[in-house]
Amino acid sequence: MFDFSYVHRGLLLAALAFGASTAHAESPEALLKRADTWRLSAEHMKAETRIEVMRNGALEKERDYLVFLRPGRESLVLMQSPAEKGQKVLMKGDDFWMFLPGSQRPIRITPTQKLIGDAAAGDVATLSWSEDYSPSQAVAEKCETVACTHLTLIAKQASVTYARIELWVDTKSAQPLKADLYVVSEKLAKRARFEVGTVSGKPQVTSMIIDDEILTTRRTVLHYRSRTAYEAPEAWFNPMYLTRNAVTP
Amino acid sequence: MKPLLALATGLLASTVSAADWPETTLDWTLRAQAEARSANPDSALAPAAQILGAGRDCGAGEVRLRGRVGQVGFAGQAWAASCDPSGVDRDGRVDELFWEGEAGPQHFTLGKKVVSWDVGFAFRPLDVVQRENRRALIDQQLEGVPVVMLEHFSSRLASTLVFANPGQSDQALRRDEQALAWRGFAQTTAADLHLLARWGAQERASLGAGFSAVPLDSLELHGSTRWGQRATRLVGTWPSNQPLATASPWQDEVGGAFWQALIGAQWTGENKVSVLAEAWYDGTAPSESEWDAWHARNATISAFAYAPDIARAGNLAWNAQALGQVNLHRANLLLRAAYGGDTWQPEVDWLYTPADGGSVLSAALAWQGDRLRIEAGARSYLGPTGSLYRQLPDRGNAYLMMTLPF
Repeated sequence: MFDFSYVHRGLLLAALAFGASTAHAESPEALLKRADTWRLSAEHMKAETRIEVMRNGALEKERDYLVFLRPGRESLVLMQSPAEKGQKVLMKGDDFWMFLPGSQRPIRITPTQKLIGDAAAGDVATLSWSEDYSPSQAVAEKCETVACTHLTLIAKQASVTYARIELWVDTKSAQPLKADLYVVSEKLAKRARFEVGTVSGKPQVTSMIIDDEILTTRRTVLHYRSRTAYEAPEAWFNPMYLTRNAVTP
Repeated sequence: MKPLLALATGLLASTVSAADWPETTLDWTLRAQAEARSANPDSALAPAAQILGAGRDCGAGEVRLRGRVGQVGFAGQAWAASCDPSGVDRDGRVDELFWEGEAGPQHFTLGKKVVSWDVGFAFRPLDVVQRENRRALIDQQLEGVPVVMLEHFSSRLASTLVFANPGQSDQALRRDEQALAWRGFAQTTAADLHLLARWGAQERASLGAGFSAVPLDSLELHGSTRWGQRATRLVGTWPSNQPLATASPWQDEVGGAFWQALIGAQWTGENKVSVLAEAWYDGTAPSESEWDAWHARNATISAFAYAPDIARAGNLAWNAQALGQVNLHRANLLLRAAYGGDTWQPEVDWLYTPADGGSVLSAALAWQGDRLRIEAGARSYLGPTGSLYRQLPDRGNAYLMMTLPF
């Protein structure tokens, strides 16, 4: 007598294999784009961010930022906290400018100058990995209880804040889980993990906890306080416009 | 200038969109500072030390305001300062008060506003409107200039036309001079480019250009140059047959053509250490022969034994005016190193004038808390005794400052 249970098991295994191959059929690029949607809810966006700088577990500083984003790797960061009020950082692709209220003029800055300050401007303003990085490899791994994919992201341009990112995302949902951030010298600069909450009825990354691997006593917690679709005028992304008050919220 | 005013008035009367403008803001900062200075006994001007306030210690407290109400921006400050042994000076100033508006792609500004141009740090040839006096040891909130400004922006281009000091006398000089200035900006793949054209009631035509480029991740290069038809210079005209003058011999005169140029580089490492180097030439600074005459006149005044001390001291004090100029020598070099830490921010800079070997060494250390900032610094004038920096009435100064923003 033919044992149909073997057929049943075989079909089940085939289905599982098909399911697994379908899951792995997603390209790393597509997975990375899906991971972006956990932080970037619209192409033109306004985001309010709060940074908490902790040292040895104690809150040392709080900094608030207002970020305007638009496609083409363009973002404008307005510092909102009393100690930094009036400062602005404009990022257009590989070019960066800073505006200090004391001198009242925009100055061109280098990618490494972006790292100076309580929070690297790139940490605050970069909500999209897929625009700045190419996944060079994707490896299926287990992250605690969930199946995850370990993506190695290599910077497309030398001007981005981190030259390489090791990113772990939930294979099914593409939810970012954790990341190791490396600077140009291949030094591990920061380790990040992501917390998820519900924003406008949709699960989104609500905070990013960044442990400094160089200043090991320091932890930065980046809270995404609001994210709304907002199309800032094109003129706001001209460096010379930074001197105008209209950019100040 | 009248057509420009008419154009500005017409545009201001047109519809202005303020729909996207966020709400009213008001920020204020408290600042307290103490400054100690040491008089320079080696200076030829030492007999005038008391008149010049050399070696006088000062303390000051001030409140600064900055904000906007709708389309009106403002900045101001009020202070109380006391320099030993004089009394307390209380005063205030409106630094900025302007209206900003837009009509389609055109943007307007009307009022008193800080308008800083150029790409340099230690010196700015293209800073023709604001004319900020750079390299102050203790930073000051800038005072704006009365302007009518018309601007146009696209993603990579910007054009700014400024009518500075409208209504000012045709005889006014320096930052008070009535002038029309245009600045063009272009963001290219290789560099940011700046072009400048200016027409002043006194200084006439002036043309300039500048650039700023980032060829490497850690390196920024910049430079600017300006040619001018006529320069405003501080000139000393002493009586030919008398050792002492009865009024200040120093006054501004508008003279011949000049040029200015600056070149600089800034390197910043991943470790947050940055180094800046700048060299510049300022054709409006006094020539070597003018400084030779200045030294000779100081010696003549000091050697003239037939006048009371107060008369000689007064003449020497007048001669100190020459040392208040933006650049004492035409050729200058600045080196600066700084660490941009999150909490501790040390910096040191050294300004050198090859003409006489004089230099200025400054160092500062700042501590930045969540709000409170504490900063201390010192400056010392170095070089041969005959160099101009060693002729300043003070040998050096030091300060301690606390700033608390709200």
